[in-house]
Formats: sequence, C-alpha cells, structure tokens
Amino acid sequence: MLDTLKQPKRGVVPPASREQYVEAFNWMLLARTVEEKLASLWRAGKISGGVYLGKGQEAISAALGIMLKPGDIFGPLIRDQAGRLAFGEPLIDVFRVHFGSRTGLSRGRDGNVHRGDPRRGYHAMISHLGSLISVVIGALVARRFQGDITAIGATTIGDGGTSTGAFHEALNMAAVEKLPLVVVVVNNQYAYSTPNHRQFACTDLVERAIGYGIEGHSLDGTDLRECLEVLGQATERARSGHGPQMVVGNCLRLTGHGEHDDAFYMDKSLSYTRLGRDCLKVAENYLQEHQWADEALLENWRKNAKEQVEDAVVNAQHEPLADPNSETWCPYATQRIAAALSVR
Amino acid sequence: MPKVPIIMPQLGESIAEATVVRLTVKVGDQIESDQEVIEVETNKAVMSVTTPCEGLLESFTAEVNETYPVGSTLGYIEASVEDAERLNATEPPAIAWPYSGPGFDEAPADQSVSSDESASNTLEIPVGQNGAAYQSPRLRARLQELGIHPNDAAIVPGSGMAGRVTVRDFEAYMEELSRLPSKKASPMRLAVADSMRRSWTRPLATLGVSISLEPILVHRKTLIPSPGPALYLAKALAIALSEYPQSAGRLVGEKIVLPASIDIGVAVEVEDGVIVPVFANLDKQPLAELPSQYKKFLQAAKEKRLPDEAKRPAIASVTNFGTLGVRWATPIPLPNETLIVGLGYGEKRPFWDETAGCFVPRLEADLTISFDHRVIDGGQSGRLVRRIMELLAAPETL
Amino acid sequence: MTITYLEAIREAQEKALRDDERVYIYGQDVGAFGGAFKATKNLAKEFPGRVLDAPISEDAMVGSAIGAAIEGMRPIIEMQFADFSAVAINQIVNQAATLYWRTQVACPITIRLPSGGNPGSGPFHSQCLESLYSHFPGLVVMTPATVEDAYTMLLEAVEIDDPVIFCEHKYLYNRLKSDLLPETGLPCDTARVARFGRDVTIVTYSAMVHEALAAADQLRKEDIEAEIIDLRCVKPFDLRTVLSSVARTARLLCVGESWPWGGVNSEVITSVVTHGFLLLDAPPQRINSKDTPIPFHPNLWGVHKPSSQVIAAAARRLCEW
Repeated sequence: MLDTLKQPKRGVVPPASREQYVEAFNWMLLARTVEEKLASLWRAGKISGGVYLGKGQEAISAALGIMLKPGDIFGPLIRDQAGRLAFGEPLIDVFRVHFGSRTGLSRGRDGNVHRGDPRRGYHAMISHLGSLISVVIGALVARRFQGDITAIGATTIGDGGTSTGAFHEALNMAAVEKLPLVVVVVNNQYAYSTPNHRQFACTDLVERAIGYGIEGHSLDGTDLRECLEVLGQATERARSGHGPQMVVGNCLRLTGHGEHDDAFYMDKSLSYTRLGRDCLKVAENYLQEHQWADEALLENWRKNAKEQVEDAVVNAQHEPLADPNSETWCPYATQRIAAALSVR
Repeated sequence: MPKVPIIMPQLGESIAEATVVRLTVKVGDQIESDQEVIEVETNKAVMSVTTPCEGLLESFTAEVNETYPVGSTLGYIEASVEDAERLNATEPPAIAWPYSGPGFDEAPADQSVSSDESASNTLEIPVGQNGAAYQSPRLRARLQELGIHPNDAAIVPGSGMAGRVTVRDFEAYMEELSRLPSKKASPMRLAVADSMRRSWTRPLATLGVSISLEPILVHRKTLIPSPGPALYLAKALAIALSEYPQSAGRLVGEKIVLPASIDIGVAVEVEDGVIVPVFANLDKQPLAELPSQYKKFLQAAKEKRLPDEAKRPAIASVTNFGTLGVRWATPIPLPNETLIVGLGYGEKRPFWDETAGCFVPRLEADLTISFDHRVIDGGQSGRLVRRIMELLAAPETL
Repeated sequence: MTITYLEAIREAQEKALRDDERVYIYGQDVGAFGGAFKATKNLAKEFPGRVLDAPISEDAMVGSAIGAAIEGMRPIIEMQFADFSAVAINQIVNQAATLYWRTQVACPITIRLPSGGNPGSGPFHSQCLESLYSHFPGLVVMTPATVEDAYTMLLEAVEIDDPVIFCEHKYLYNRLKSDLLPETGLPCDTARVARFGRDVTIVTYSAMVHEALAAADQLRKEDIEAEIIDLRCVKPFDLRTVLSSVARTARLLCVGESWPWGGVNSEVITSVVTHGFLLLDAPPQRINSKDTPIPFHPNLWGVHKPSSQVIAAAARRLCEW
C-alpha cells in the first residue's frame, strides 16, 4: 500500500467478539434467506420490475449495519439487504415494497431496493449512482447545525459508482467539511457487466482516499471477521473526529446484476480465488472452527430465518396493493401548491 | 485635436452603474494607452477605468462621489486623428432592451432603443390569411349564446384579418341593433326562416312561361264545387311528375333519391307565414274531389291544425302568388323539395290568332318553375313545364 | 432610501436567517466574499457558520441540501449562475423533486438561480431555466419580477415544504429599485395584474414583465390597451387570473425569456385553450427567445430574446387578427 495513504493501523479496535460475530452472521443469514425468497417470488411472477441481490456481499453489509447506532444515518445501495436489516429495517417492509403494497414505505410508487425511511435516518436510494453520498453529507451537516456530534453517516457504493462525478463531488465535499462519514466502496469486480479494468485505472480504489485527503481502509469482503474489524475501526474513527473514512471491500458478486442477468460475461476463474469465496460459508466455517456454533445451532438459525421470512411474505401478501383510485397522485407536500396544481 | 471619450465600462455581470471614487490623473496630463485614470466602485469591488489610447487628458465630465451608469462618458482625451478615427468608429452596440417605467432608473446610456423593425419581423405570427369566413371560438360561443345561426353573423361587417368578423365587431353590431325598435319573432316566422335558410344552401334557378287560363275557366264550370287554378296546376304537376319522377329527385351525397309517391304541397298564406298542406298521391286523385279537400285543408291551415296526412313531406309544391296580384316571382322550394311551380296573376293579354290573322284578347298567366339546378337542368325542367302546359290546355284529361 | 431587487434578495435571506434557525445558505463564494453578485453580502459575518462557501460541486451542493432538509433544515442553495444548475439537475429533478412522492418526507430546499442575460454574458451565463424545471413534478418554480416579490417570494420559498427553484433575474438585480420592502406579499400561486387593459392579455413573468410594460406604453399610443399578467410563479401558475383576463380581452399573448420548446408559454396556452377555448377570438401567440444558444455580443443578444418592440408588434398583429 502507498506510504502516503492514511491507513490507520489495524487492531485499534478489539477483535470481534463472539456476540458481535454471531449477530452479524445472523443478519447475513437472514439477508441471504430474504434474497433467495425474493428471487423465487420474482421467478414465480409475484414481483413486478427487478430484483437485485447482494449475494457475496453480506459480510461487508452486515458488518457496516451493526456498527451503526440508533441516531446514525445510513444510505444503503442495492446490495445491502444485510446492512438494512442490521440497521433496523423491519423484515416485512422488504416484501411490502417489492410487492408494491399500499402500506409499504413507498406505497407502490417505487419498488425493490429504492426504499427507505428518511425520517429515521434510513435513506432511500435513487438509481443514479453516487447521488446518495451527498444526501448523507447533508444529513450530517444538519446534525452538526443541530449540535449532534455523536452521529455518523454511512453509505455504500460499488466499483462502478466510483466513476461518477457525483461520487467525486461528494467525497471532496465531505473531506472539506470534515464530516463523520463512512463511504464503503464494495468492489465486487463488475459494474453490471463491466469489469474493473474498463472502470478505473488506479491499482486499488482505496488510493483515491489520498487524493481526497481522507483516511482509507481495505478489507477482504469475504471474511466477516475482517469486515467487523475494519468497519469497526472506520466507524470509530469517523465518530471520534477523524473525518471521512473510505473503506474499500473486495469481493465477488456471486449473482447477476439482477435476477434477469445470468452473468455469462463473468470470468469463471475468479470463483476459485479468495475473492470468489461465499462469505456466508466462510463465516459458518469460522463459527465452527472457533466452536462458537455447531451444525445443530446453525441449522436452528437457518430454520429461524426461514420462518421469519415466510411469515413476512405471508403477512405482506395479505396487505392491499397499490391502487390508482386511492393514490393521491400528488408529489407536493405543501397543500396549497397541490391545490393550485389540481385546478387543471 | 479630435476627442476620444473615456467610457464607464461594464464592470461585471449585472452591474448597471458605478460610483467614481478618485481621479488618478489631472486635466492636461499626458496619458498613456491603457493607463488607469479613474477609480470606480461597484457594489462588488473597487476597480480602475483605463484609457483607450494615448493623448492629453482634455477633461473629466465625471465627478467624484457621483454614480454613473455603464456606458456613460466620464471624460475626454485629446488624441491623434488615427486613434480618434479607429476608436470613434466603433460605437457602443445598440441593445434593444428599453427597460423603463416604474421601478427603473433611467435607461443606461448604451441602451439606445432601436427603431429597427427587423427585430419584430423576425418573429412571425402564424395566422392564416383566409380569415373572412373564419369564426373564432369566442364568436361561435357568443352566437350560440344569443341563438344566432353562424350564417347570420356574415352580415356583420368585419374589421379583422381579411374581413373576418371579430367578437368586438359583432358586439358593436349588436349594440347598434339594440338601439332600434324590435319585437319577438313568432314561432311561425322562425320556422319559415329556418326552412328558407336551409333551402338557400342550393343553387336554385327559375324559368317561366305564359299559359292560357281559358281552358281551365271553361272546364271548372263543369264541376261543383269548382276547383281553383292552383288545384288544376297541382294536379297537372302531379301527372307530369308521375311521368318524369326523377325531376323531383333529391341529391343526397352521390345519390339521387327518387319520390316514393306523388305528394304535392299547395302553399297557403296564413298569419305571419306560409303553410303547405300536402295532397298525397295526387296523380291518382280525381280532380273533382280536390276542392272539398282543399277547403278542409285551408280551414285547418288557418287554425294551424293540419291533419297528419297533409303534414307529410311533399315532393314538390305549387304556389299561387297570382292571388296576391303578383305577375311573376321566383319562389323557393322547401328544403326537402327539388322544385316549386308558381302561378301568376291572370289577366287579358293580346294573343296573336293565326287563323284570324289578328291579336285577340286572351286570359293568361305566367307559370314559373324554380328548381335545384344540381338535380335538373333547363332542358329537363322545360320538358316538365311543356307537359304541364299540355295538360292545362286539355283540363278534361286531368 | 431605495432598495434594489438584489438587495431585496439579500434582505430576505437575512430575515430568513434571523427568524429561522433551520435556515443556512450554501453556495460558491457566498461566504466572506458575499456571492458573485453580492446577494449574501455581509451575511457570513452576521450569521457565523450559517453562510458557507461550497466547492465547485453543484451536484453535491444540492444533494447535501436534500439530506439537510430531511433532517429538518431549510437550506438555501445559491447557484452562481442558473446555467450551472444543469450540473445539479440529477439531484434537483430525480432526488429532490421525487423525495416526498417516494418517502412522504418533505424536501424544503430553496435553490436560487441567478437567471437571464446581461449584455456580454454569452451562452453559459444567461440562461432562463424555468421552463426546464417546470417540467418536473414535485418542483415549485418562482419567477419574481419586482423588488417586492423578490423579497416576499424568497421568504415564501423558504417556508414552502417542497423544493423551490427561485429564478431571480440578473438584469433586474441592480436596475430595479423600490422605496421599501413590504411586510407581506401575495401567495406565489396568485398572479398579479401588472396593468389593466381591454384589448389583449399579455401573460409573462420575471424581467419580461417590464418589457411587456414598455410594449404596453408603445401600444397605448395606438389606442391598444394591453393587460399584463405577471405570473410571479410559473409552477404552479394562476390559471384563474389568466382566464378571467382572457375573458375580458379575448386575445392571449405569452411572453417568456426561456426557449420555446415545451415551455411555460406552451403550458399557459394549452391550459387556456383547454379551459377557455370559447373565450378566444384569435389564436393565442407566444414569444420566446430564439431557439438557439444565447449569443455573447450585445448586437446579437439584443434580438435573441424578446424585446418590447417585438412584444408590441406581436400584440398589434394579434389585435388586427
């Protein structure tokens, strides 16, 4: 790694405890179970539009999610099911939004991963990559105005998203404002079908932290222990006044871009590298090696996750769907503006 | 020595004026080109105004602490002839933005108002030139509101493009009318008006002939009650049309619609209008029976209570305008009829008697036929008239 | 004591900062320098930490305003020129304009766009983008034409719970003056009859109101009385006032400084034709800037945008129609 990179020494925070590891693992497991169900529902024609999964990225996402505290701000992206759940997203909301339920967070107006509850610091992404980072920045600016100096903000982006102008503008701005922001760049090797070498020309994306004058961290996204350690450290540094933190997590997308994509273009040999490991399997092995869980316990957790997911699906399916007659068709919060436009 | 002005420059976006803070040279000083001579202050910054050429500072027209708009002359330089020619040739550009009026200071000096009409000519307003017949949505709505048929607005003189009647023209016309006495038109009048307006959508032609009434007068004495000349004419028309039914055809689209039966109307004047009772299948009715039926219709028409059979649409009508003392007329067929036959006032006229070799008095009247020229021509109507004349000359055949 | 249109904008921001602790101003050079046009002059000094210089990052400026608004702030973003807001268009139209619709969380941000041309400004410092932003559901687009409106409408923009695009006209900044600022103003969804007339309705907004007024002065000499409606806000706009004027005059001419395609003029005309077809005695007309980029040289610029002569000529023809 470059000498000039402000990469703090590892081990500043204590290694992950059993409790923390198990918690993160269970979010990973639940996320994986949710996404398998979503894929199945999509293939059965029960979900309109797309389904985008985070298989292979659960460790990074879950680790980030559990590092965030109530009152923090989180701007997840498409492959962050684990982090969303860890941050506190009710399981049923996942299915409400995918089904387009009237009671869902977006009432059928936007679907799948475009969900959030901004009032609770849980931001709803739009499809334009990089554009959520500055929104999280603004939320932190507001907190600073309001005298809240304990909260941090975190957001994630992919390798492709780092090529946008919005990414650059936001990281530079966060650095100028010295905000407690953690930007997690998940390099899963492909932006849809475009491989890294057609996306950027630096050796490692974490080098960019130097340019922004912020601290950079790297981690192996297939290793939950490392995810917990590095993200624990990055969030802690952000929280303790060290300014924006950029964390680059390396892994492999173990699925297509979306469920409509068979990923034929991916280099199969990557699957046999360290990057290609399934973080969930790695974590299971780790649990067993450390005797933090045996197969029976794992099976119990799996069963529990499945039951929760099935319950959520059934409950969400009983709810009324988006309905053009009860839809307000009004994008304005100000009543008199809405009224003035409805004259037409 | 020619003079070159020192101008207040545009000192930044949206800057309209600046205040002179300091004069950094004196009148009479030798000045270099691009020398800073006046310090000015805008709401943004303090800046210097420079000279456009070298020369002697002739005068300052600007005063310290006064504010001058962009483009104002602040002073003059006595310059060489070459410099003056070069610099005075480039006038400040004219800007067609004549902001003035409440809220604005006087227009900046370089904002000369261009009288060049080319500016307005560059924006073409795409209106058609065939406005004369055009009625705007507003005019249509107004006509409808007043119950005026669009055609009736054509009598209003138009002041709009190509003589189009504008709403204002129309309102002025109505205003003028409102000053004249008026009364409500009767339903009968309105019905006739509507009927005539619809009739008048066709090219109508009229031709006329003289006939002798004497055979009719002789013959009618043989019948009691005796039919009037109009009934003879109606019966003759019925027979002629039964022989030439296409003459009573109606043009609808690409088809001539032929009559199903020979039903002939006879126009009757009533108060404030005309009613036309109809004799159904007149070609098949004996002449002798017509007078009593006619009398019944006449009475009913005056009471405006025609029986249903007399209210059916006719294929042609007869009008006896002779009873009004009228010799000749061009009556108009009803909208659903193609022709109408009229009979003028009977009078003694000199008639050249070939056998006697002299003029003899003879009771004659003019017979007219008005017809839709789209359906029949002069020849066809002429043949129809000659057949009617033949029949009237031999009333016993009716 | 006179106050300019620009000073009114500064005063409104000062009042907003003073009265509402949720308000802050963010934009390039707005801090100690006081803004490229001095619209934030001395505000950084008066309100330390609340008037902040931004990097040249229009996208992130607006994105951050959205995030702050979600957290309860009322940010005012100054774009140095309206033209530069194109860099932020994704944040404005995709993020800010859709936020309430997507999440039921309001997005009370105000984006100030110094708009319109000045002699010599050229293609990238002269644009009027109200038509562009009006296209997107969820945005309110204000176009004040007077010193008073610049003041009260900016305060109203800060109060409104939706994202407001505040198009302030640079030509008016230092040229338009008033004696004092009002306490209150009309709500933005109410248009103002800037001049009464019987012969033709001219619907316009922003700087073009003054061009139209100058045109009306010319027309009066020819016995044509133009009624001038200042829309004040183009989305929403006050259709009732427009229709009632057209009911009186039967003729409609729309004037705007933005480009013609899909514009505010088109929307006004479409609405009048849809809701007031039977009021019209002549085809509605519109005048916009020429459908080209904006030229730099004053000779070209002067005829690129509508002028009082062009407006008068169009109104004259419309009355002759």
